[in-house]
Amino acid sequence: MRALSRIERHRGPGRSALKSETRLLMMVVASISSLVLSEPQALAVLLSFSALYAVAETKPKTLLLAYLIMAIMCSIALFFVWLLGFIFPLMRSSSLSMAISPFLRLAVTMNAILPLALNSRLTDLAMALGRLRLPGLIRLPLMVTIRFIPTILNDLLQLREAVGIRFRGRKGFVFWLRHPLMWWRIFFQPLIVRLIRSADELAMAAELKGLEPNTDFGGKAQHFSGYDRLTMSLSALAMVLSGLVQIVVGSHLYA
Amino acid sequence: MLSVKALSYRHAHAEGQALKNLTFTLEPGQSLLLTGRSGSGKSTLLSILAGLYPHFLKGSLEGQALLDGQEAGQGRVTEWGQGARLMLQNSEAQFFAGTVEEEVLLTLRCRGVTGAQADQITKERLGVMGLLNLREHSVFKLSEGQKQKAVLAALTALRPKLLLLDEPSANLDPLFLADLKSVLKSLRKEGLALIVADHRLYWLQDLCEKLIVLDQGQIAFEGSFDHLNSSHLRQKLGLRSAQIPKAPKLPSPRDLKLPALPKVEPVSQPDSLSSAPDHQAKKEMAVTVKNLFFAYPDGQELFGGLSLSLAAGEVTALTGPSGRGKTTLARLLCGLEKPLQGTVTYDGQKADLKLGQVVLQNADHQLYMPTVLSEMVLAFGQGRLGPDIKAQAMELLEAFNLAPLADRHPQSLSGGEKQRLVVAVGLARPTKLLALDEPTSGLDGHNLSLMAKEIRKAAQAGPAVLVVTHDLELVNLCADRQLELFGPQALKAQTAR
Repeated sequence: MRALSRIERHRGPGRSALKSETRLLMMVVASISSLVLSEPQALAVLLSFSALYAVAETKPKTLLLAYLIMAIMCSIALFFVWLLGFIFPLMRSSSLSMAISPFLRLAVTMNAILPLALNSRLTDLAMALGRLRLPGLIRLPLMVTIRFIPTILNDLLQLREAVGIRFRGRKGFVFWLRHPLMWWRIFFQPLIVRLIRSADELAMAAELKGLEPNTDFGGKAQHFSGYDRLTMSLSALAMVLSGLVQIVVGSHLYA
Repeated sequence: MLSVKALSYRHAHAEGQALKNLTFTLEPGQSLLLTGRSGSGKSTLLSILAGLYPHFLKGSLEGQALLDGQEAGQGRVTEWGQGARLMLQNSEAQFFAGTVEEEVLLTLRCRGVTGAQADQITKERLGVMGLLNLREHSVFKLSEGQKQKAVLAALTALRPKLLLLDEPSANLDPLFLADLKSVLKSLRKEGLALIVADHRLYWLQDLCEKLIVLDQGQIAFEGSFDHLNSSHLRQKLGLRSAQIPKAPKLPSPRDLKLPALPKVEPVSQPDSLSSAPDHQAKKEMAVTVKNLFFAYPDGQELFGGLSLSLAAGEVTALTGPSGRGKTTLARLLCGLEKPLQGTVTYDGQKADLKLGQVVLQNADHQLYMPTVLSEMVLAFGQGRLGPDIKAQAMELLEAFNLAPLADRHPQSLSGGEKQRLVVAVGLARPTKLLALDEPTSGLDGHNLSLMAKEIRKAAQAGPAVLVVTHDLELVNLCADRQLELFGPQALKAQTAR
């Protein structure tokens, strides 16, 4: 609870500033754009805009924590890509874009999802999804996924604290270098167990509550504020600019 | 209303049956206390009655559980769940919305109640639970007791026929338990049937008239609450006390120096306080806190000039209402939190996690190794297994009744077993201060005695032991001293022995 309270305190200032519809739209735009764009330069433009959005809507500590997790995940992925390339030379990445584009896509999507997950009330989100007339089969998993993100962050903070208590000052740096598998045991295994448990608990909670794909949450149509319109305009600008960069860089490469 | 007939259940991939041939009935307005040793099948039975079979419980069921003629496991969870609602032991896991009000509203909207009607029911339920002033609060920022009330408000919003509570007292202080009891009594008057599965029994006196004790999945005893007054029965079935534990006696020590602030609540028996023998002064102080100031990052002040000391070789129970900073004080004492001002020292050295040890509540995050034995071996500070280390580890496992589980994966243990294991791990390393946060929530009578004995033994080895707890039975069993924290600057001390 303490850990999650910390996350609560790290929530962005825009908890009530942006409408849930706007945050949803930002997530959809970021996801589609990052799928369509393939050049790292174009993705970098999109990443810059999405990072601005994330910084404005999420507290720096939470954002840094998320980036740290992503950096660890990317490092592990890159290591295995390198390992595969080492064992099977045919599988080596032929270009920089092939190697870094997936991570840029991940970062863009994360920037768009964090404000939605940490700043939206679930009922507001459910009503917004209903107003967008999204089918129930998309609405329900999306709600559960978004509800899951604070749980993951809470688990991470608690795990970090537990590891700090158990091992602080007792194992030198050399110990960790000599026992790399302990990293897996100490950081990832409890996390995976917790995540599986949390997912089960959340599914049970949803089921007991009666959350169903066709649940009608009611709610009236919302009017967009100036801040909403500005955010949406900037996202449109980001799409156009990154699209232009994609065309220019792409044509230059293939010329 | 509820009729359970020859109900048996076997978990998927398990050899034995978790529930064996259970038969009982419950009428509207009646309430049943379901108790028994850890792992006797209480939570499994509640889950089946809540309709979680076969959607979440994937084992095989024989017999019937009928609620107003509808059979558990035959319909969808949501259909069955309209009649029976379950409050899980970990109430935080049950939240799906962000705020207290939203949680109740979401429940109603999921069942098709919207608009003004939903608003009205929400207001009424929050009023009954005393949560109206917290309606906009984040559910994750509530105290454990408030969380349980928020869950109850949501569960009762749709007027279920049967309410199932799994270990509701595990993390609640005695004041909140009394409060919860009065809420449950009022719900019963509305015709609600109640099944409470719990290890702490004393608070259920005059709430639950029926009693079922489970042992290894079968009914070991059926009767009324009064039967629990038999110590023979309690001992035989590994149950806790049925009476309110006596309050510790003799307010005493002078080592508590509190600043004269206007908000200090009166300490009982001030005359005794000033005239009592200063037994603490004769003891070696392992932990000394001087003029401690602490506030949360949002500015909420928790401690303003707190001074106290903990004697080496003594067990100090830190008690008091939920949300008053007991866990935070323990964290400050172990060096896990930094005070704004003031000092915490161990024999003159600055408090540090290298010298102190704290065992947190959530066991899942504290278990890393592939077997229970290797977890203990790691706790003794060795990466590899040596004969001496193994013998020491096995000795501690024996003491906590965990030796038969030495080859099991720690994450596969039950909640109570994990709790015992993390405490055993905490005891493995010599420290100046050992702080245990709620080490007995969810433990049955037998394991409670075991834990109390080991805590006392740990204190005899030298460190100051601080036990943060709501468990009055544990305080009676093992504490030398009780510190009651009941306000930002209010700390009351009593000697328990």
